[in-house]
Amino acid sequence: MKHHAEHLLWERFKQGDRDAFRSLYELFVPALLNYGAKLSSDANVVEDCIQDLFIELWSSGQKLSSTTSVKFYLFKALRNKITRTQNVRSLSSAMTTDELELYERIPSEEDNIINMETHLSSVEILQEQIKLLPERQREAINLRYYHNFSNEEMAEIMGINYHSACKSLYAALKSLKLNVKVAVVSLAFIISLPALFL
Amino acid sequence: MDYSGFDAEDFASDDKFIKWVLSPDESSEQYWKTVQENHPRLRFRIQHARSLVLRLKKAEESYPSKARIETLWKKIDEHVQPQIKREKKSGFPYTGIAAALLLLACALYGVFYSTRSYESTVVSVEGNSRELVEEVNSTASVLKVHLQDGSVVYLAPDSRISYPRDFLGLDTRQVTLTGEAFFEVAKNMQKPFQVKAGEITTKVIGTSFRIKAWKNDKKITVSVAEGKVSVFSNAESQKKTTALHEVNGVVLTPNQMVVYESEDASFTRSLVEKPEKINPFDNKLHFDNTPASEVFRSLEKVYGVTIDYNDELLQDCFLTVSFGDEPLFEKMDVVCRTIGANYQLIDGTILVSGNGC
Repeated sequence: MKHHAEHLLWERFKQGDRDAFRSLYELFVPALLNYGAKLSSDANVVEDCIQDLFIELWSSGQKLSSTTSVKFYLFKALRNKITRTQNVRSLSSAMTTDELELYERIPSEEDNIINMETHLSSVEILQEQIKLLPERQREAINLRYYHNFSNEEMAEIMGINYHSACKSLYAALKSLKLNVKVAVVSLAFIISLPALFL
Repeated sequence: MDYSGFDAEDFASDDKFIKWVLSPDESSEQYWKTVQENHPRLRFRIQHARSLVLRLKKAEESYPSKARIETLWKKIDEHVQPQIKREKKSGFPYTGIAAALLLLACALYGVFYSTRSYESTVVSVEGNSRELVEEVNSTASVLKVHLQDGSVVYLAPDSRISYPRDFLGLDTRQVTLTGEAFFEVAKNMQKPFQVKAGEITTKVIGTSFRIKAWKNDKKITVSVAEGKVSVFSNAESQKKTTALHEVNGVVLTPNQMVVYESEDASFTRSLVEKPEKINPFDNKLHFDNTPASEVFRSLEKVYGVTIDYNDELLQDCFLTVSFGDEPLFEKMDVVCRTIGANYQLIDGTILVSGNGC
C-alpha cells in the first residue's frame, strides 16, 4: 500500500506537480538525513547534497524512469553525491575487502551473557559500539536494519558487490557481539566490585 | 532451508529472517515457528538474533527537527522553477526548454561542485550519432563512474575511460580504458561487457575485476574478484570467434590474474597476491586427522582456486588443523610444512610437490 502511494506521488511529481514534489521531500528527507549522517560527519555537506539532489530531481523530472523504489533511487543518488563531494573513498577501499575485518569465531557462550545484556540498557551500549565500527560496516548496519533495505539493495546502494556487502554486515554483527560482551562483562565486573569488599 | 549450521549472526544477516523480525506477517510467523520447533537447539540463537535486529533498528533511529526540514526545504524551493510547464510527451518543440533546464542544472552543478576537478566530455564517433562520454580523473582520489546499464567503474587518479551514454541497440557494452580501474559489471547475458585497454580486450558477462593499463607501461594486468573473465589481444577479439576456435588469450577465474607483455604479446597467468574467499560465510576449515587431499579440496572450494597434487604421494598424509581468516598462502604454508611438502604457483594454479608421509 505504502509503495503504491509513493509511486503515485512520483508519477505526479514527474508531470511537474509541485505539491507532489514537496510531499516526496517531506516523506523521504528524515530518512535521507539519517543515512547522510552515516556518510559524512559534516551536517552541512549532507544538507547541501540533499538540497542539490532535490533540485536536480526537479529539473530532470520527466526524464526520470518510473523507478520501482523511490527510496532506493534517492539513497543511491545521495550516496553518490556525498562520496563524490567528499572524495572519501580511496581506490584501495573500493578494491579490497581486506578491511572488512572478519573477526575470529569464538565459541558461543551466549546464554549467561544475554541475560545480563537485557538488564542493562542494551540499545545505548549498542549505539556506543556501533560508533567504533569501520565506516562501511556502520553504513551497512544503518541501511539494513533501520532503513530495511534487502541485502541486495544494500550492496547496490553502497556500490559494492553482494558478497562484500554481506561480509561487511556479518563482520559488523560479529564484532558488535564481541564488543558488547566485553562492555557488558566489564560493567558487570564494576557493579560486582563492591560485593567483593563485603 | 537447512539452518543447522547457522549462528546468531547468520540469522541476523539473513534477508528472510530480518523480514520476519521487522515486518512479520502470518506466513513468516508460521515459518519461523516451525523452524524453532524443528530445531529446538537453534531457538536460543534465533531469539538472540531477533533481539539484536530489533535493538539495531532502535539504535539507528533518529528524527530531524521540523525546523531543520523546513529550512532545508526553503533552500530547495528557491532554486526550483515553478513557471515551466511540463509536458508528458517530450519532443522537439521543447528542446529549448530542455536546453535551458540543462544549462540551469549545469550552473547549479558548477556552484555546488566547484571543488571537483574531473572532466567529463561528450564526443561523437564518426559516422555514428551515438554519444560517447569520456571521463578523465584528474583528482587525487578515486572517481566513481556509473554506466547506464548499472555497472560501476572506480576510476583511479590520472586515468580515463570512455563509454557510450547508453547501450541501447548495441550488441556489446564496449568501453575503453587508459590507466587503472576496478569494474563492477552488471549482469547481462545478451550484451557482453568489453573493456579495451591498450592492446588487449577483456570480456565479461557480469563480474568484478581490475585492470591496470598505464600508457607508458609495457605490461597490462587484469585481476578477477568474482565471476569469469576472458582476456584477448585486440587482434583476436576482432575475429569472428567460434566455439571451437582457440584464441590467443586466457580465461580467468576468481583470484586469478594475468599479465600481458606487449613486447612479445604474451599472457602470463598467476594468482593474485592475496586470494579472497569466494564465499565469505564458508568458514568450515577445521580438520581433525583429515587426509591432506581433503584439506586441499576444502581450500579449493573456499577460495575458488585449483590445487594440484599427487594423490598417491599424499595418501598417507593426515593432519589436524583449524583455520580462521589468515591468507590462503599462509594456510598453504602450514599444511605443506606439516606434511613435509612444497608448493609453487604455476599458471594460476597451486602445484604441491613432496615425498609423501
